[in-house]
Amino acid sequence: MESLFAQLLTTAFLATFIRSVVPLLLTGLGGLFSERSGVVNIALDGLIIFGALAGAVTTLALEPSLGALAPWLGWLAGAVVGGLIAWVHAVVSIKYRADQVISGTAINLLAAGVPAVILTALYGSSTESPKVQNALPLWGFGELRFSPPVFFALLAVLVTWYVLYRTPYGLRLRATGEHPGAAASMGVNVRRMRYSGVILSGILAGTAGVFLSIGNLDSYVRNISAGLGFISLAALIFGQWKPLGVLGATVLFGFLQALSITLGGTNLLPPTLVGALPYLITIVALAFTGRSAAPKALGKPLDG
Amino acid sequence: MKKVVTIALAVAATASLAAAQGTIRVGMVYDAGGKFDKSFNQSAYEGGVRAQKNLGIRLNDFEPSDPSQTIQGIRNFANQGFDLTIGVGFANNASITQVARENPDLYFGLVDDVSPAKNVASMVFAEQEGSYLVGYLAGLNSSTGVVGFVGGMDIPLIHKFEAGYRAGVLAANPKARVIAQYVGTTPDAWNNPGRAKEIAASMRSRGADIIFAAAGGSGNGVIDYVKQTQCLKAANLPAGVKFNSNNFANVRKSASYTKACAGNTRPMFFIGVDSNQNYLGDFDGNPATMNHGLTSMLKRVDNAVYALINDVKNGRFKGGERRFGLKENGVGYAVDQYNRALIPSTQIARVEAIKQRIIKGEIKVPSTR
Repeated sequence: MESLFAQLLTTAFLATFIRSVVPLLLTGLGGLFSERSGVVNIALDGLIIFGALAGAVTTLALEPSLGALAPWLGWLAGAVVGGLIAWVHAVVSIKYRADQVISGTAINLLAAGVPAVILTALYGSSTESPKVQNALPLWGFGELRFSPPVFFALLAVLVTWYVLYRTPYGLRLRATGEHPGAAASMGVNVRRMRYSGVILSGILAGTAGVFLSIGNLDSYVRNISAGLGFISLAALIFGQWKPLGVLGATVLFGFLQALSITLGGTNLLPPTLVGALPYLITIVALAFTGRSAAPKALGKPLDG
Repeated sequence: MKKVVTIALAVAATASLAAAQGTIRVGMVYDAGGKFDKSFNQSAYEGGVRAQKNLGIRLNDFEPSDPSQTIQGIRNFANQGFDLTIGVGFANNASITQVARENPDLYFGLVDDVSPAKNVASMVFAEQEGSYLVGYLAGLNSSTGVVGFVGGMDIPLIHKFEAGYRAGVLAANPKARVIAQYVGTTPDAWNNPGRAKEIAASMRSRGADIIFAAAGGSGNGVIDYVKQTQCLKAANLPAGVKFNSNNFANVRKSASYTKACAGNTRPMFFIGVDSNQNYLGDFDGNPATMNHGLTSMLKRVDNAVYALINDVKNGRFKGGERRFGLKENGVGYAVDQYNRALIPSTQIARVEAIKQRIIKGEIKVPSTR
């Protein structure tokens, strides 16, 4: 047990912990914008994948001419592509009022198939891209060096909180998710608010993907999200659709992920149990969340 | 579905052409790692390509995008009357066996597992023997006496790598410690470099300076981690671990290494798997300076596939198990221009002696943990 605590106090554990939190946090905040506007977004996992792919492909294409600048444009491309795919989800579910869960599922299915086609066309391999020479830089010192999306994620929590509770846009967004009819009668353009919420979710999830492909690793590999999008959704619910709640939930889940990695090489618990731990605790956490304070109009298209 | 249909049409078109010419037709179906995984599937593919070039056979392959498609791919080749269909990877066993039973007049091959069907040649490897040799090199060269093993999916096949590696490390240095950890318990574990990278970070914090990754695509995460950190610093060593040796003091270092690893440090290494991955450790694009791939555990799937195709071509196909160990040159360790400066010839001589003793049966290498 003593050695376990020694392990948990190392800076290496702290670094693993932070890197585990960041993609969950970015995606969770993205989900928050979408769901607070009243649009269910289970496409987050797929959006991460598209963002990661766009980030790697753009960096690979630009780095011969731009060098160290390329990954920054890769980040931009990942965010834009995430936003574009989310826009498709928005069009289908807001304009055509399709079932939002089905539309989101369709995007996740696309994310399972399309990257292989693109990778094969570009690089002749269906499972991974070549390695980028210029990944996003690492900032910090010693073991605690992180790529820029990590700092961006922490900033995003504060910005999200401020935007949601202290700006007219945030008020309108929340009103749109709770009482779209009332918001519309007060002159709020409900559809436009929802478009913006969904597209923002794509930009943030795309950034999470960029962190995974060129912020933390140096290439895109198949199914790079490894289900993070769904854990982020759980964190969103567990965090009661509030920015600080999402932060708390993702910190908990990230801690459990890091714990499972650190415990994995020890003989304290069976490795299979350690691997399942984050998911078990997620289910328990959700069960004890109590009555969920979901936005009232979540999943309901605006009539008329 | 549409994709499958197009593939079927393409296969049918090429197949009828080949049948008219009487060439041997070989179908290859990969597993989750994909054709160009720089590792095991790619090795099978290279064996097939070599056979295509040297033996004048026709090779068609199929890359399933999810496991449920493999049986369709295999059956498709069989329906076209392909002389030989090879399933790469243990996950293809059930599909190959079923289609082989449906087509008793055709030949099939399976890599990494044994099929009960009579018309399947099952190619299995003694991975523990090759892993023992790379483990021996790790034990000789570890500065801290702590080395890591990152397995992909937690299954008996990968336990063979771990068991052989552990035994080899301890044979070279009885006081050494091996930290073993697996990426996961599902096939996704072969494609999760992010998690493998964090595992490598956790191993380094426990003092491991050499990490053997038998994890398919996830191994890239270990390599990327070694690339990012390059060395182990005395200040970061955990309690009870210290630098015992400094085998690489005289190896020429790159500028970036000298800058990042000043002071009392030791270099970090990975050990590659299946194909020769030594070159991936050349982070500065200059093989003359120190590379971080200590060696690779070779698994010559290419040779096994080539030999099987050759047998089919010469009408000598025989079903059942074919075992490839050190003796058959089916496994081994890699020495090339990338790691020659790391491993002195005295060490190579010792490893070669061990290899002969394993072949003679004087050293029994465990295959389970």
